[in-house]
Amino acid sequence: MLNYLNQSMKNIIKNIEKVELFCNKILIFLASFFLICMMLLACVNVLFRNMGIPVKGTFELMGFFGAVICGLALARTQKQKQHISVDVLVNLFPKRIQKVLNFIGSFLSLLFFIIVTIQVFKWGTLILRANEVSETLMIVYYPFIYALSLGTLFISVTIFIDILKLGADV
Amino acid sequence: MKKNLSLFLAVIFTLFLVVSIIAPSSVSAKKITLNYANFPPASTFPCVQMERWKEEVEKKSNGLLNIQTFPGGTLLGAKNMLDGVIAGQSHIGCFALSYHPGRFPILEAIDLPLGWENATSASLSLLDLYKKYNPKSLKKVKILTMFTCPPANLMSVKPIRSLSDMKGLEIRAAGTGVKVLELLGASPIGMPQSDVPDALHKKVIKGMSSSLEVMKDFNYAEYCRYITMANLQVVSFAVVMNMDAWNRLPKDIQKVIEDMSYEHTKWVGDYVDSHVTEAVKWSKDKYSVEVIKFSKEDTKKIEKFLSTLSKDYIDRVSSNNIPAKAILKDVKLFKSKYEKYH
Repeated sequence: MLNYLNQSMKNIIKNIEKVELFCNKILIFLASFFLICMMLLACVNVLFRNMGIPVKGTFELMGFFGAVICGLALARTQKQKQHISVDVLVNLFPKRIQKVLNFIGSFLSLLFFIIVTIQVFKWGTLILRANEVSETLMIVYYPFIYALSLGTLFISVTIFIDILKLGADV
Repeated sequence: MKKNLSLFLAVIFTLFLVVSIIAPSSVSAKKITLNYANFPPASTFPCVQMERWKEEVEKKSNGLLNIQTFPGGTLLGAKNMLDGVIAGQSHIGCFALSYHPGRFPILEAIDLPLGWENATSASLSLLDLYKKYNPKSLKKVKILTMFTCPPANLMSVKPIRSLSDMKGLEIRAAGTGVKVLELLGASPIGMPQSDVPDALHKKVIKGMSSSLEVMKDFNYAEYCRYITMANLQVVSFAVVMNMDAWNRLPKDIQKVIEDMSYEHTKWVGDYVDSHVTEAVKWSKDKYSVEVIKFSKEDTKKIEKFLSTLSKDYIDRVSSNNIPAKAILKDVKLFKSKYEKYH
């Protein structure tokens, strides 16, 4: 009976993970798109700048795109463990304690990213309501802030699923 | 045995880390300590006025208030200052209204290139304008004082002798300055003053439009050996306080601070106006900076180009049910009133 429950639990997690992986793929696709835009913009600006006609707003667009790229790439980077994790201390402990520490670590990360998501979203709403525009192009820039909070929302989801998997393993 | 020892060491080390993170926080005495955040380096005039305000307010409160100052963006940066103060990350913060285009439609009128003669008149007009209209955009904070920088001129790596020298030149500006430079044919880049040293160093910009005291305070004279006088717009600043922190202050202290606001604004204007003269002299002496004046034809052209800005302002702001025409009229009234004396 217990075994059966455990099995069905694992199946549910697997299905959620499938959806999550699909979403992460869309986000990384968007991030790559912005990265290409950023590269093109930089090249075009280098070229035109030398001809005496710099592209207006390159400086601020680079900043916005950079933020969006980092935000949207977070979830997939976490999933594939491509981020930097310091485990000098953790590796000294026995396997069982390592698992508990991992669990605590993931839980704290989850809390952190949930707070970041809420705060960044609030910030975006504030900029939207205040009618604030960017400094050079005078365009509305809250969508970039919302995109960033979307990225941190999905890294929260990714960490949540990692925690579920850790729990199902025990 | 060896395994046990390493486990023991690991536990000790982890405990040490945890303890050092949750270090004891400072114990507060009877004094009221307030944090005052500022974004540019300590040598610049927004920070000089901060230290002066701290000194005065500490003296006038008989030592009850203790102001802790944080220059150079150590507590909050140029663009998250206001929201940081609203959220309570700092009790007090000094920020530039002009770095948030669109957010302060009423007070933006001060930033229009109206031909301000000095910072004192512009600063006092800004304070009057705020008091008259009490804008919604600043309702969440308590205004302690307001001021502007002196009118902007051009500083550049290569000389700008005529309007044609400006064509396509990447020049940093803030607020309405972006539109001003565009009308003059340059390629403006909007950024806070605190980002300029890095941008100059990396050659992202080849000059900037700002009041001239930055030549000395930021040491821009080392890069920009040319000044072109143009007497353009001003950049406006506000010193704001978290509303809850303000309400917690005793009534008599609140009065001390409120009574200071007009006098302090005037002090800042006077200080920075005389500091500009000093900074220009210093740049000439130390880096033999050349000061250039536009020809009469160019000055006329500039006036003509910039005359559209006031009309643009009225069109843009009026659509949000803000009496832009009346605001502009008031600003001009304040301007003539104060420029008689200063």
